[in-house]
Amino acid sequence: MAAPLLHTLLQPAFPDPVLDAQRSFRAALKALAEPGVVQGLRPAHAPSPLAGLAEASHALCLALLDIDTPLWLAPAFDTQAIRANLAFHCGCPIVSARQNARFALLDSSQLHDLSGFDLGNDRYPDQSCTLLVQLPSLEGGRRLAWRGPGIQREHLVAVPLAEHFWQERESRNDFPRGLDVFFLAGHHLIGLPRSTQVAFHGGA
Amino acid sequence: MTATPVPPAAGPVRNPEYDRARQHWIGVLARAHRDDFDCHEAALRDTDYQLIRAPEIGMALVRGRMGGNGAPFNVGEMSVTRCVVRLADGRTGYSYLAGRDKARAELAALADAHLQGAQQARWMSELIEPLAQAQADRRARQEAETAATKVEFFTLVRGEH
Amino acid sequence: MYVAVKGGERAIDNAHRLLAKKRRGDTAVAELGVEQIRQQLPLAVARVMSEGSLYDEQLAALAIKQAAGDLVEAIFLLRAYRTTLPRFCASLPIDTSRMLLSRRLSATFKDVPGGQLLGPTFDYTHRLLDFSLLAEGDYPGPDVHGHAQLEPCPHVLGLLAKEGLIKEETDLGEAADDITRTPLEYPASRAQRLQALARGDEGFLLALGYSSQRGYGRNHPFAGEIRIGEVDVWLEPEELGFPIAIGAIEITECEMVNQFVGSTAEPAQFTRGYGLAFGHAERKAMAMALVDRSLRAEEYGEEIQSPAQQQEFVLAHCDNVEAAGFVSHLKLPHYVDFQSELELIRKLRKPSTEQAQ
Repeated sequence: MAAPLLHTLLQPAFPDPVLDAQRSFRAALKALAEPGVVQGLRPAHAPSPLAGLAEASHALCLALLDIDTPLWLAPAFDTQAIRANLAFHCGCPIVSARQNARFALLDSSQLHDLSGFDLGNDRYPDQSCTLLVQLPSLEGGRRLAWRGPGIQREHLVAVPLAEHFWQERESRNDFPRGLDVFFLAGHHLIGLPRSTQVAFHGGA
Repeated sequence: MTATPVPPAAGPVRNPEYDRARQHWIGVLARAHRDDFDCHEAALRDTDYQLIRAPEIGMALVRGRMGGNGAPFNVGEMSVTRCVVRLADGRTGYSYLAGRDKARAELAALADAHLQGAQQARWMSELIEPLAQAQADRRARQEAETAATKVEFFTLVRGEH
Repeated sequence: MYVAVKGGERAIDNAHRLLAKKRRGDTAVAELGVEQIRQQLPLAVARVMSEGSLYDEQLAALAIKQAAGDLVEAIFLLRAYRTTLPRFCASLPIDTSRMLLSRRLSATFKDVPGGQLLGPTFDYTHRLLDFSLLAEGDYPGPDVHGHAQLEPCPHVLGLLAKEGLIKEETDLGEAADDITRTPLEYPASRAQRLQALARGDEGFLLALGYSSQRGYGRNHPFAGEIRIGEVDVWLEPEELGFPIAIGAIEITECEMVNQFVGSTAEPAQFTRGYGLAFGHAERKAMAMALVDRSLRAEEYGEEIQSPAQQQEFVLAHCDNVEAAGFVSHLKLPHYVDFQSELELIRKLRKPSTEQAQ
């Protein structure tokens, strides 16, 4: 390991490691409980920026990852600074094979192919890989109707995603197995649990 | 300690001699008690520094070996406090200590950072060497107490003269 | 009919206050400090740390105080607290051959290198109540010879292993399974079994170990070696790139030697059982070593016919937090369950009472 070099890459994480991790976890929990509703993190409680990682992505990494959660990084995030800081603050192993990951950090260029990620099994569906998808924005895409648990009737959500993503997701959704997704941009996040149904066919 | 090893220049190359020296002082700092730092606290804190990892309490999983030397297994956890500081000149100090004492973890990390700088010889002679000596004395006292309970067997000689 | 049961908050509140009062006892007597418990009840602290599965003397002492001396309750408290702490890493396996010994015994060889070190022990006491402890007094400690040193004390069973007379322990470099992360499934590996036994109830393991000595399971044990002392714990943080000592913990280690008559493939030799516990915990480590050996029955092709040899029986019942929890839950309201059983009994009795008339 290039340990001496590592030192210069390390930087502080949450201003208040315990409470800010709890706040971020709470936001993630709410995001999955109310799919499609934008949740925000207060800048004062967000971690200092880490090159290439939005505040919300960084915060969720710090709140969710630890020694027991192997992480897969998309090439865009596979930088020395991100590797060093996540390994240091979270202690998470960084894996190169998708199927070994419990969390994956993706950008929009990866969404046409979600193959390889662990969908969990019927006994432990919770062991599936959770996707953290960083986007430039959470708006501006085609408005789609989201329905399902946590949504009273339907939410119209316009996360900018190509249709490929929805096809990929549908093809890997075999309840109770499936993928839970967080979309992250700036200080904001939206949750898309496997239980949410999204009508993406046809229409403009 | 004899010669004062120098830290390796930035880069991936490690200096095993330097790592060993640092391993030694980190171990001495880990075995120190909170009040061992009392008279050094002001000097340790007398520098600009940033907490890269604020003192944090958690656990380390303690592993043993089957039969003392076989395959590893998990015995249980122990409480651990860790801290990382960075001084203004970029030197980074680490601590991992048994127990739950955040103040001690911060002071031990500061000491590790100071020990990597130009004042290393002074910190060695004023902080590490006296601590190491006190720790060795304590071990020797404990050993002597245990030695006092060593069984001396008397062999009984049978009848024949 | 289902009747929702709600209420009792005030009663619960007051019950907890009453418990606090009972724990405090007579206020004319000085309150017990956590540090006093830690210093003066170290063996209770050791048990709570082992079975609570967290080495932290101060927290264990606090748990004992809070539990008013109920050690199983204290173990529960420590286990609960433990779940709130993040796990940073795993240690390198502790090296018990480099222990700073406070006690070391072998019942198999009189003249072991390093000798027999009795240390602080209850052995050879007459188990007569010492009424002098009713008063405060001075405890002068042993007669120490100023510079007495210990000779090196290698593991005793290593001596047998050198001659090939005992099964060697081997490390194939496999990762140790962790029962706190992956639920136990049977058959369990030896690593899983030892982890479960290390946090298992001392009384339960003692009884099982005793049963194996009395003939329930083939076992003819000798205490090959018992070691108590301090051992340094080492970690290798990735960011440093070299291992560091983080401090010392007290541990008790026991190696049992057992007979094995051999098989067609292997010559007759001794086999081993291993016990390791936090703190000064000799009875626990010995019982664990006996049960570890019993649970290796299958490995040695022995017939499994006794409780101490049955993995599922031992491992599923050795945890006193689980056991106490399931027994305790019987105190919770079962009003509805019981009503239905009561009705059933009444129904079953009806024809017979009618017949009798």
